[in-house]
Amino acid sequence: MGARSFATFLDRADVTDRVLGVVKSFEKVDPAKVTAKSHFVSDLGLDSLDTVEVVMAFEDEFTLEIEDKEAEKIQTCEDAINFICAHPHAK
Amino acid sequence: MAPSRMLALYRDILRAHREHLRPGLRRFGDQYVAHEFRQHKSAKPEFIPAFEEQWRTYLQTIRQSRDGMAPAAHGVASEVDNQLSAEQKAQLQKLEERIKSL
Repeated sequence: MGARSFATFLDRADVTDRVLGVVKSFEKVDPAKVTAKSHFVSDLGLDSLDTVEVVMAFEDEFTLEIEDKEAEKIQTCEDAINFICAHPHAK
Repeated sequence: MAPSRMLALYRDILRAHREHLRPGLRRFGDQYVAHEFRQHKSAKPEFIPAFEEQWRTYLQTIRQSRDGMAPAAHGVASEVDNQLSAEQKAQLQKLEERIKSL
């Protein structure tokens, strides 16, 4: 840590795989329907409470905390991928 | 349910579970709160303030607890409490007094 810690960004293809993996493993989601373009509500049939849970699952997967204002904007897999790729502390 | 306000509360509770509960309890707590919030999604507006108030109190309780010890189980404990018979409650009361006297 300290002097050795610096901002690193994750590889987009890797982030995409992991984001889709998280969404596919969500209980109420049909894994066959999940693509990077999927909208949680209109494509995957989730509700607003489910969406909160999915975003929490991204936080767990990438060991980061997403502020409320940012979390509310994440409504598709692509939104999540973009946010995580731009986040220097995602692991 | 006033969406974004209640969603923020829901998120705060899940976060508090993550920070303050052991994994097994966190899973249980998450399921419990998910069930309750889902049931109240279509509740009449007059029931929302009391619902919100209760969960804000619960959130405070969780945030003040460590390792999911006694205070964390508060919401569940009160539910269990409602299902106890008078005799069971009396036994629990005795046990509580005994523990306090140790």
